[in-house]
Amino acid sequence: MTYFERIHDVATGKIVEREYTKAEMDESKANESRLKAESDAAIESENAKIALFKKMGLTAEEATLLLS
Amino acid sequence: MTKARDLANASTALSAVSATELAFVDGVTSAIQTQMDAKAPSSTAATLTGTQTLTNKTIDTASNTITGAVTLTGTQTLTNKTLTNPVISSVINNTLTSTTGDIIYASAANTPARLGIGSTAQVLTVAGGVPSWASASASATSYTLLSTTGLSGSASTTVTGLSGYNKIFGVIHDATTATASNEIRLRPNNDSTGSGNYYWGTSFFAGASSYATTNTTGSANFISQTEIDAAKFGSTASSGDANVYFEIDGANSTGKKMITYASGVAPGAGNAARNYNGWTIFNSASVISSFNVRVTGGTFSGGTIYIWGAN
Repeated sequence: MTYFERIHDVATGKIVEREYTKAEMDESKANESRLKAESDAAIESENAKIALFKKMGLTAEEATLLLS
Repeated sequence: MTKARDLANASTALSAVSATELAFVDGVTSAIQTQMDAKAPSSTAATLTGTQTLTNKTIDTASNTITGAVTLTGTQTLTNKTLTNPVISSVINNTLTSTTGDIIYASAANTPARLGIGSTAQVLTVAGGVPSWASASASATSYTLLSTTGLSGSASTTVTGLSGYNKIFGVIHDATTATASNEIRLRPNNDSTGSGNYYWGTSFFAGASSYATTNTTGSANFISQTEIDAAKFGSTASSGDANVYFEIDGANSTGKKMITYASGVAPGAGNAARNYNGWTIFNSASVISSFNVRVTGGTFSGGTIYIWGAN
């Protein structure tokens, strides 16, 4: 799957799509990996907090307030 | 004149010419008639040809004709004279402009009038068919919608053809992405060089999983960037929509462009979503002719970018 840039020229009204170059694709894929790792870490952290709150006997509402 | 005297005294006169009359030709060295013809007659208009110098002479008002170049020496006063080619009829008197900054205009046909200088910052306008000074009215900014472009499926979207608009206002409405923790970035002129282009001053709030309550994490930065961080989605793919606005002032100048922007990410699962609130100096000598919005990784799965322009 390749990514593309959508280009709207307001002077002509035309919309065209340009495929990402290899360098752009590589950068995007690398960022996706970084974002995935960041996301996983965030979820893991939150799950750990939720588990702790449950162990403490807090309600879901109370846990949400602490996480917010 | 011995011979003439002899003739006059002769016993037989040659004519009725007296000796006195004959004496009048004393000193004549050439034909008298020829000399007389060469002189201008005094009873008719005199025509002087060639370059003439008239000094302290009177031109007969009966003829008023001088042919050829005339050199007037000394101080001359022309009274009630009409210059027919070129025409100078009624000369504007310089005393009409009595004050510094005065302007001469025609209050009616062939009627010069004075318009006194206006006050500081006043502008010249027209009222009642004549110019006048008036206070400059504040111009109303009228925005034109230039682009409505869907983001879905694209990794980035660029709106081009923005040259000529000094004010650009944009909204990214309900943008979504399948990539968790994704970020929306903005690039005027698709510029990410970072060299000579500075993006300074931003702050963000990182929301937690339930963003409807309070924001727990804040940060303020004064940094140089290569593009504008506009919004960050939450840490799960089902994170909420992101909405961003940005405004550019001075977009059509070759100087610095001032950009303000803010974003909001709707509550969704997962924390780490960020709402940005910042301002930017886009330090580029190029006018802004295009604007790019992108996600850091992957693609948009929904959303629309609207861009308006004004001057």
